[in-house]
Amino acid sequence: MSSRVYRVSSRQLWLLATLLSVCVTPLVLPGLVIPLLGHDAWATGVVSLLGGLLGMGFAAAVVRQFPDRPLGEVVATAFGPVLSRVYLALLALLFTVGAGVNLHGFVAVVAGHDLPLLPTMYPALLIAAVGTFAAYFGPEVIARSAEVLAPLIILGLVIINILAFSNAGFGRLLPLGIPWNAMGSAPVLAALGTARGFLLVLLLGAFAHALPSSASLHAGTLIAAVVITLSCALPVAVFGATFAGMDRFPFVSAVGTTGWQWIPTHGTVLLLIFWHAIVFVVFATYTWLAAWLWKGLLARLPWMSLVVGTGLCGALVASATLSSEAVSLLFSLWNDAVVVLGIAVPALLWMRLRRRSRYPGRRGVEER
Amino acid sequence: MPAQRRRRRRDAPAAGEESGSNDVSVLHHLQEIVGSAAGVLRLLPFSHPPTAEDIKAQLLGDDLETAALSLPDGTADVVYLGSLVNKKRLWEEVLDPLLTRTVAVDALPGSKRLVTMEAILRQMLLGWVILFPPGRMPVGLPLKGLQQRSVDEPTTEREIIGPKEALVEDLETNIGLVRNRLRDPALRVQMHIVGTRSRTRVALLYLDQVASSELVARTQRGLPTVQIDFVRTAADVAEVIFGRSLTPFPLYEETERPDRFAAALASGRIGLIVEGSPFGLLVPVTFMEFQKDAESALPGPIISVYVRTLRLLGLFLSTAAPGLYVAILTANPGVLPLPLALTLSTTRFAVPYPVATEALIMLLVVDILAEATTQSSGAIGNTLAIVGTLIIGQMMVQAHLASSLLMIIVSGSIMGSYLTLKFSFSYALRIWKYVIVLLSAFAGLIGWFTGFLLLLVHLASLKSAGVPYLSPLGPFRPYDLTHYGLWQPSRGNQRLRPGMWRAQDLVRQPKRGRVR
Repeated sequence: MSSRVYRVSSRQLWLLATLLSVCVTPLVLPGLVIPLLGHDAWATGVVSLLGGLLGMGFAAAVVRQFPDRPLGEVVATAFGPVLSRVYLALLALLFTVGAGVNLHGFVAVVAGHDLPLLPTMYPALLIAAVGTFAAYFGPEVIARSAEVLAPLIILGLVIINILAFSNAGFGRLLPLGIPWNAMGSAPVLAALGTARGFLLVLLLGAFAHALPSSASLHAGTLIAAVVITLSCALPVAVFGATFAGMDRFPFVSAVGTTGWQWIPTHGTVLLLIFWHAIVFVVFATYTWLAAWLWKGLLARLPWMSLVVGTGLCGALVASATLSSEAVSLLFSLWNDAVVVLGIAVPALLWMRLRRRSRYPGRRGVEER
Repeated sequence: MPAQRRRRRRDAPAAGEESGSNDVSVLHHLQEIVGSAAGVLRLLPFSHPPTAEDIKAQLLGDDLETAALSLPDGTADVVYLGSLVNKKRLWEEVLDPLLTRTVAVDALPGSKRLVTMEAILRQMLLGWVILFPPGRMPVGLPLKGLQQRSVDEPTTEREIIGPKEALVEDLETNIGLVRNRLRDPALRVQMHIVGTRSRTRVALLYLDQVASSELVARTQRGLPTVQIDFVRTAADVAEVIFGRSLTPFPLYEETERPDRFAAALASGRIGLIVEGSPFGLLVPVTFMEFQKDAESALPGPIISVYVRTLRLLGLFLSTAAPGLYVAILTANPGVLPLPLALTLSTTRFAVPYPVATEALIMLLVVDILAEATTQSSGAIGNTLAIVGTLIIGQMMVQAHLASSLLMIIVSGSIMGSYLTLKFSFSYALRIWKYVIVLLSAFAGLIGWFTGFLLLLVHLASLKSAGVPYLSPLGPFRPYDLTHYGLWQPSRGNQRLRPGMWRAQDLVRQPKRGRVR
């Protein structure tokens, strides 16, 4: 891990974790989930909530057991040097992919709806540039920026959901008996992976002045789950499951049906600016986490900063030019990976460390 | 213990100055002291007390004046720099009383014995007269007579209802103006001499037990280590102590208002005043501090909300308006209703170049005019303003080199930047609007918003003397934010100092500001 010490407040950590949980998911996820789950798409929010609660619980437990210990050290203590490096490398890869996928998801919406004449590369490059600029300064600057943007983001989320409500017919949400064996499918796993703030708690928890309380962490997961539920349910309520399933961005289309005609005609791009703020925070956090993990893993090699920086920038720029199908595939893979690396491994970690209570660095255990 | 030692060292007289007796037997010890300070000034190696001849050899200037006084015990030399000394006072307070034998040398008011050459030269350069009584150590008399500007109205921070006093170039006057508003015995004033050539006096002011001890210690440690040859303003010194960032935004607050300076000290910040500069410097400072004004609270809460709203609108106009114009007309005309979009297009129908180019040209022209008007004074400034607004602006529109709407937006942007209270801060806003215009030309409204995100990240990365520049917005401090909101609590309810200044004593006053 990098030797520089970062410090964020518990409030900032909570905010970042919540924003990462919300992410661009409401823009991208409904297009993946509704075609498969139809009327039951709203359940993805419930699955997200359960996954988020589980992940947050494990992450917070591990961080509380080993305060002020970076994740790398904790994992190395539990699994040994080789396995821990493999785990951290996978996490680094996960965040690299996540940054690119989220960026592309937002840019695809922008290009498809409001800036059809603008090359996709332009907004992607701008967000990548400003996100990388923030990542260069580290989590403190990202967290401060997120705090300033928080009122704008909250306002945007509320307005968007209210607008989408205006033409909703909730009778369309009645389940028609679609079998729930679809829960094992990739989109549902994707939904489970949307509550991914716990990964941030796991990684940044050691650098927080204090860990947020369990109640507030779970409240953050709940907020994310509510947003996801609404984003999946409202398009179905507005268009019906069949028509909503044919749209690539059904939630954005649902917002466009509001009775206030100025919005669909002129103002959707203004609403997307709210998402711009979220995407910026998420992208900057992912990029910093990826760079930090890569640097920690490869720090002994010469010219590593240069290699990591160049490699990351290349990956991010490339992600902006990926095709939609490739991004959808990556999005699914990324969420599956979040489930495995973000919930399963911390759960294993927690169980293993729980049995052996004599680890140095553990709370209440003296250093040898 | 180290703090006590530091205090003892601070309270001790400077090298070469003697606070008590005039015993020549301490000469050996003093020579040791002088030896340690020899790197500061080129000194004569002496094995005898300094004489007038030694000084003449050091200060080879035509303004060095000497006189010989016939006293009962012999002839006393008087040496001084005529350009710095008040000769009338010299005659009335020193020469005449000594010649008429009404006062002895030891009884001269304000006299101080100076035993080393370094001390003598230092005091002479501050406008002292040096008297060499026969057979005794030299005596210095503070008779500075340089003509100083009187206390006048502020020129850059005018207020309608607020006080009409501004700092001047004289250090003692400035400290007096601050003390006059902050009659607290805890107000500490520590003098330092900075500048290897200019040897400028710099005063550090803070409230003991209130200002952050860490910040005070850092400044106290930093001041003696400043190694620059010439000090012009306090910013020269602060830059060395607290570091420099590549940013257009000021990381120190400069003010010419003694009331603002004293209020800042009372809230837990520290101040620096440099001799010869009519601006005091305050650290730390935040982005929101530049939006705060003392005056708008005076007429009442409703008016203050109105005035502050105008200021925030000015902030938005100065940074956002030109970029928004470019973004909408370049990439996002769809956000406007059709009639409005058509009207906008009509205004620039005959303009021969793209919107972004038009905006950049106009912004540059207006900025040049604004800069020329600001730097010029009186009649020249007024003439430039008329030439700029009436002739250049109107002619450019008539020649179809710019649209009339853009002229309005650019003018509004310049006016908005001057609504910001601090001159240096308005420069930062004026620079940043170019970044936003360029990004807007690149990607429309997404680019426009990216410009703000870039500004946000930049501001979030800045720190002023260790305090995040975006406080109290990020890190978010709800109580501190009440000091900067549109609707501020009454002074009686502002019980605590803002925590972001890291003051030692957070309690400003009793609850509700009254004794029960």
